[in-house]
Amino acid sequence: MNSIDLALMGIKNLLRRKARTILTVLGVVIGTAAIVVMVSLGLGMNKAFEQQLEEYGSLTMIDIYNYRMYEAMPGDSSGTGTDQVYLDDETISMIESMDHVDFAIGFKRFDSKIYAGKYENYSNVKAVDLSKLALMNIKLSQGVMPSVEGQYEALFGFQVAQNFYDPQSRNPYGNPPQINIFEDKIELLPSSQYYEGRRPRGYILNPTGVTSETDWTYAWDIFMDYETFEKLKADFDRKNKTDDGNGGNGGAGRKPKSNEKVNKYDEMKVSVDNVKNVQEVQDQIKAMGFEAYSLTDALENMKKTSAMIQAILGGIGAVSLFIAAIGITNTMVMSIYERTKEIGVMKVIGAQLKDIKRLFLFEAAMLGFFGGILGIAFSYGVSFIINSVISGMSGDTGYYGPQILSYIPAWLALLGLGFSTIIGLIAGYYPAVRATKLSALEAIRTE
Amino acid sequence: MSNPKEVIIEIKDLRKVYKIGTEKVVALNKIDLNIHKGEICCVLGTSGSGKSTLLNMMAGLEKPSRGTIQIKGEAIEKMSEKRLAKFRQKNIGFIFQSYNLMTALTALENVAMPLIFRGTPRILREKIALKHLEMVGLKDRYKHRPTQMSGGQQQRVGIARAFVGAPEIIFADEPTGNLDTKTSIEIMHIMWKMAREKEQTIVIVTHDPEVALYADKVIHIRDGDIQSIENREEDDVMEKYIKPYEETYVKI
Repeated sequence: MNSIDLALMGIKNLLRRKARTILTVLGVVIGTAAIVVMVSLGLGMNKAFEQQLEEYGSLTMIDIYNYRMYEAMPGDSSGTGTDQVYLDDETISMIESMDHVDFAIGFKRFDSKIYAGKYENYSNVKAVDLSKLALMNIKLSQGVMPSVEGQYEALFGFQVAQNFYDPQSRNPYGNPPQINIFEDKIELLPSSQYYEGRRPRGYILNPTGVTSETDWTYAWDIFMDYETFEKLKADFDRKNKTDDGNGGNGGAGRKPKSNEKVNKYDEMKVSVDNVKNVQEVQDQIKAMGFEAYSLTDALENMKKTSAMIQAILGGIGAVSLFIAAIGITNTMVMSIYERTKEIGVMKVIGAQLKDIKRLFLFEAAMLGFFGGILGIAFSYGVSFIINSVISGMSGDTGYYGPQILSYIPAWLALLGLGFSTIIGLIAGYYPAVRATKLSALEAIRTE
Repeated sequence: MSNPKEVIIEIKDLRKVYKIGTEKVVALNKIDLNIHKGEICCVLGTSGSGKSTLLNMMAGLEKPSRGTIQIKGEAIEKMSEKRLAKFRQKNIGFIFQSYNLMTALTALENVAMPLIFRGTPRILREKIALKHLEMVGLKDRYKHRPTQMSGGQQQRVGIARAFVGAPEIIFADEPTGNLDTKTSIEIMHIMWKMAREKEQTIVIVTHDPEVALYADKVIHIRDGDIQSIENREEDDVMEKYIKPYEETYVKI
């Protein structure tokens, strides 16, 4: 018996018993939809996790710190040398020579004050190699990235402008002034010292851009070129004879001797080509003796949690598909009782055992398949309703974007369809075998 | 049928005992029988004589308690279900008392059914099926469903279905049992003509002596034993029954 005839016969048989077929398929629809929707909630959660992590920063960035430094201060003659590591340009080039590393960038933080008219603002200046900063693809809400050529050009974190206050006021933080960093004169003092009365002259900054509100990583930072800032600070220190130790242990505040290794940076970021390689690079950097952090650690944990939640949700869905499977078996067994005579006649007039088995398996698989198709269509509908109701409630404004709660990728739909068909096949196996074992004699017994 | 023909069904020492509770019921005691190729053979007996049991065992639907049945030299009582199914598909056609047509299918689809199981392509099998419907005189009713046909018409569809695969042997279990006398004669006439045309062997089980009139060989069976076997000349049947029938009905 060829497959097309078998399929046509099977479909005809199903259509002959419309009510029962529809009810059985309905069971599978609910079962499939239950699984797909449950898993889609888990996937939506996963997506939300990733979205959230992206708010914290790029997933392909590794942060590097050097905490060992404090164990052996420069000038400590016992500095046993070889195992001591430094965050300097040499380290940068070493890391950049690793596989999968796009680039490494160093930051040096200086406590500073900026002034706008009578308002002042304690802010960090992060001295950095501007050409590399450009590689980081920092999102801007206004302006452009600063360049080395310009006069004291700087990139402002979007929160910096909000931190101005009036020191003369009784309630300095009560009423934050509206400062437009592009139009108001911004004066920088590369020192966090408190000045009673007159303060020394600072340096007029030229802000070129503001970071985007969607990324909080650099919200409170001011980025300036490393060398420009170093010169500026040296100039300031010479004029005002201040050395407040700001700049830590021998950074820009102190000219390092040529052969002495120092921590040129107190923080580095490494950009890796792919999330998959982050862990590997991170481990290599740790092996060099640095502290290294990345969001993949957090992502791993979150993924584990969501996998567990998905398993639980999927399990709940599986129960309903299991019940649907019992429904298929029941339908097929009933069908055999009803068709005993027909099956017998078919055997007598030349049906092979495998034809009968295949016919019943096909009918059962079809119940699963149609149930699967409708179930997936139904799932998309449910998913759409869940998502639109949720985002309708929370509003899709704000920097988290529209909230996705239920997410059905194509593979999940296909998997659901395949699963329901296979469930149909499995559920139909017992009835099919039973049908082949029916005695053909039953057929010719006339009652 | 006087000239020696090859034996197509050979039954030796056949016995069938049913166990009903603790009681044993002997359905067939000891049957020895040869049926030749091309013979139209009638097993005649009252109900409970064991004639249906004999047919079932010849068709491989029941296993004998003892003895052998060889069809075309193969012992069918030793075959597995799977082999039996194949054997039936190839060699055997079956006509039922209650027609047993598929009610959801048209006459044509019903007739084509055995060819579906053989894997014959649709266009070819519908052509063959239509030809056989023509032979039983139902060509113009090929689209009708069994429920739209009379008993006689249904049985004619059943006959077409049995012959469609050109099997060497056709078993008929009380083919006229549900029909009136006139229709019965019509059915017997069709079966006789079709079987003769291709020298097919027919084994008919019946309790109706009138049906037996068409047979070359009549096996009288009673209480599980063969009482007598009566052989007829082929021409005898032709002269006595077929010709007069054709003169009265067909030529109108």
